[in-house]
Amino acid sequence: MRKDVRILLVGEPKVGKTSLIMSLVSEEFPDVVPYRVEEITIPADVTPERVPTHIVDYSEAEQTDEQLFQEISKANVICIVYAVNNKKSIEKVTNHWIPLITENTDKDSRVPLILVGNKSDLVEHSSMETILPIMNQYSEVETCVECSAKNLKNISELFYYAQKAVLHPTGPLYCPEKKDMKPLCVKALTRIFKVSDLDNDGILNDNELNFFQRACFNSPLEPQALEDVKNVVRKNLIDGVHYNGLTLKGFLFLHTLFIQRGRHETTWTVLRRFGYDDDLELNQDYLFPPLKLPPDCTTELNHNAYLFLQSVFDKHDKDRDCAMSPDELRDLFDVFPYMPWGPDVNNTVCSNEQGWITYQGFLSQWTLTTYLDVQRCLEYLGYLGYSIIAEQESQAAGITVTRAKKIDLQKKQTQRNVFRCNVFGDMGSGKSGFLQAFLGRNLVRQKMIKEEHRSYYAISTTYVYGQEKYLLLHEVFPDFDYLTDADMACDIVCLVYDVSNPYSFEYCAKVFKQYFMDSKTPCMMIAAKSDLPEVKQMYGCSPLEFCRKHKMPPPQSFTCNTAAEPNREIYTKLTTMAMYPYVCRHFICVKACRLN
Amino acid sequence: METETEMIPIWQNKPHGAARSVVRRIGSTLPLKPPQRACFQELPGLPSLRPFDSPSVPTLADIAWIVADEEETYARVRSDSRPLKHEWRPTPLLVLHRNSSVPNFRREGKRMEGLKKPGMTALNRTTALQEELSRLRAQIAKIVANDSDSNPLTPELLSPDDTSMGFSMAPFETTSFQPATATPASFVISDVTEEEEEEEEDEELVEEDEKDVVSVVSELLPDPLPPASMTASATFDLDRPSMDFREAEEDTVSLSKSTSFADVMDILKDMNKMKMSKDRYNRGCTSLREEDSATLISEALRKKFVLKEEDSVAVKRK
Repeated sequence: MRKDVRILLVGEPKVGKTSLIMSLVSEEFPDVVPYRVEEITIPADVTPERVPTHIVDYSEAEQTDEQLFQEISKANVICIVYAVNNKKSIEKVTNHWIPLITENTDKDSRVPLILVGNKSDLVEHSSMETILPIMNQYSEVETCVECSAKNLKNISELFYYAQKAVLHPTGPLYCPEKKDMKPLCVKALTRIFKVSDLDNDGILNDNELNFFQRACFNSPLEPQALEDVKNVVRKNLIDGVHYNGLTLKGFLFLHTLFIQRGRHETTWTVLRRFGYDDDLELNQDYLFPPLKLPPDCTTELNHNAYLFLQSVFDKHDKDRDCAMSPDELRDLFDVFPYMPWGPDVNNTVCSNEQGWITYQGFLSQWTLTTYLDVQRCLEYLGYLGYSIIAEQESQAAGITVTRAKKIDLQKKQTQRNVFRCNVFGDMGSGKSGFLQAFLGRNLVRQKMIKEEHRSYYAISTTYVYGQEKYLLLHEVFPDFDYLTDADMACDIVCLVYDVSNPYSFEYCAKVFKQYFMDSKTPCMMIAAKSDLPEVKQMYGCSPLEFCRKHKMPPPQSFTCNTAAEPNREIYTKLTTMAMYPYVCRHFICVKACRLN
Repeated sequence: METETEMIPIWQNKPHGAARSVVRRIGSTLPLKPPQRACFQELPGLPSLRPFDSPSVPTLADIAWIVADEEETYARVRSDSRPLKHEWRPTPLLVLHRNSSVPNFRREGKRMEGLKKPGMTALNRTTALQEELSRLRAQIAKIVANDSDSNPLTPELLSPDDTSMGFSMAPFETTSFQPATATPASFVISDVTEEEEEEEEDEELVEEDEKDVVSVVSELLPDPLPPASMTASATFDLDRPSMDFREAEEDTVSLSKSTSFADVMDILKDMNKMKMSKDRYNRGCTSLREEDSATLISEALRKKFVLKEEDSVAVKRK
């Protein structure tokens, strides 16, 4: 919404432009007026719409055409004034003023027009009948008003309508020819309905209506008013009310009603509350609120955000199977302008036998998005209407920024809940198997995954000393000439080699020596495919010796070729090491040996 | 006799403090309690008055009158699809502020002012005065009932016929100046608290205050606004009458101070049984009580004048 309004009055000489302005300001009719008054600024708190307003007068006698054109281009709204008792001044509206203004404004940024009939005190009849066809003919004309500067009738209303034309334009909302709301407006209101439908039953029940009223207008909906709403809709629509709640049709009808009664500011208030701008798009401030992210810090969802996401899941899990079928997922993302999750998500998080994302998987994917791309997460939360439903200031209120890792290491303590593990290994060493096993899939299941649905991430939860933590596994492309900083930055490193491939270990040793030998990041060697016969590795020393030399825990045997779900101990170990990297490595070695 | 030392005027002999001015010295000797401050309580359920909220956005709650709204033929918005009315009638200027969903006291007050006819004011004034009167009488009764040994209370306060009892009795019970600047009552200042205070603090304060009541009275006379305006919760009706009220006050008939307080006390003892109901606007009840208190007070005055005659006779005898 605009922050200030600039009103220009034009019209034939002697129609009363200056009188109107002077009557507004001094609240009495001036008997003598100059040709033109200087620009007047009315402060925000005095105007009905609480926006500072500038009023500019025009006089043919005193101003040149250049000055007029300049004022026209600067104005936010132009009031074309005519005198109701002067037919010629009315004719001039169409044959002079409107064309002049059209010529001097951009086609793309049309200025709204108000037709003002002054001197209504001098006639008995209304000029509305003559003027209405003009309003219908020219779509820039927002309002027609009749007033009298002499009797001080409707002067402040006139300026209220002028402000309103700028702050609450009808153009984007409504098409008077079709007597219907425009498609973009309908789309926006439909989305608002879906977001407000907290239990997703297709109707707004009393609680939801009350919530909606409070969210948009900061006032409660009394029981009588609730009944009024439903009665009005019931009277005019067949299926506007269903099971004593408002349907989408009824909701749209209500807004059409407001608009058709000239109260479209109500609809604008609703739209703006839900983050829409004047073009009926979600505005950038709403979707991307500022969020400071210092280096070495990570981002996680906080408790409120998790609660909100849980409620979103519940609301769409119609069959109550704690999993999202493709239809349910599509319904969930209906309020998004595009589908944010592709089929690879099903292979990044836990899923059920049908391959549908489970409840835990749903939250895991959100955790992953927050960790890896927080801006995108904010955007998604915006589409879901988080800040409105959770009654928070902005989407950023759902994000926790953790403290720098340096400080965690210093204090030997971390508050983080999400830990990242980068998995390195040569081609075919079993990295993907390692990732998928974390999601509870054995080899047989993994073979069913389509190539194009594969994912390089896997995220799920483990329990470390009774606390639930997220472990994010990232499979790094095995071309170590091109390892980026992002590939380096993690809480723990996994080096995977294939025990049945004699050349597999060399790669791991190389990566370790090049990147991780001198870093503080803990490393773990994984001897994958341990179900296959072990062969001697073509490397200077054995993996066990290597690990001992570099103070790493001994290689952990691992296989995902199991009958049931693969063993998850290794992941718990990894998470524990990520949480407590400073713990004596020797201790871990000893402990790890014992567990092995 | 000459003094060598320089004479310092009394207002300069202390650098600051209560001893510096006469008024302050009087004030520090008077056992006046600090004024009871009005306590504002946010009523639950009402929306908070935010200064930046645009007042004229209709909400879902206004759907009823919006649907029925067939007025405003002086202006027509583009999207307005109602058929154009052929008669042109001037509409009230406040038609835009009809938001009925929010009980905004400010607006309601304005609305009532705008729509009120002149004759109403006089009627309201009378009602207001009557209520004020009954309230004051009840207060008198309470003081009297609770304290039988106190000093003479000037009968200035006790005249039933003089409607100019503009200044309130409340100070004598709670020794509080009602915040004289009666705030435009945007909040419902609970009448309850006033009365509870009266009831509770009566016993403690009356004894102390009676002595000083006389002197306090003179200070209190110019009390600008009676509590009437305080208790006008939702309307401004009483603003105007109270202003006229004040003018009448200044023409007060001052009664003689020589009347014995004790006589009136006896008579008014009966009044302590009648406590003011919390609903001050329940005129049915109060009128009954008014009569009782009125008759009692008038009886008391009659007796007072009888006594006076006796006194004067006694004086003459002397």
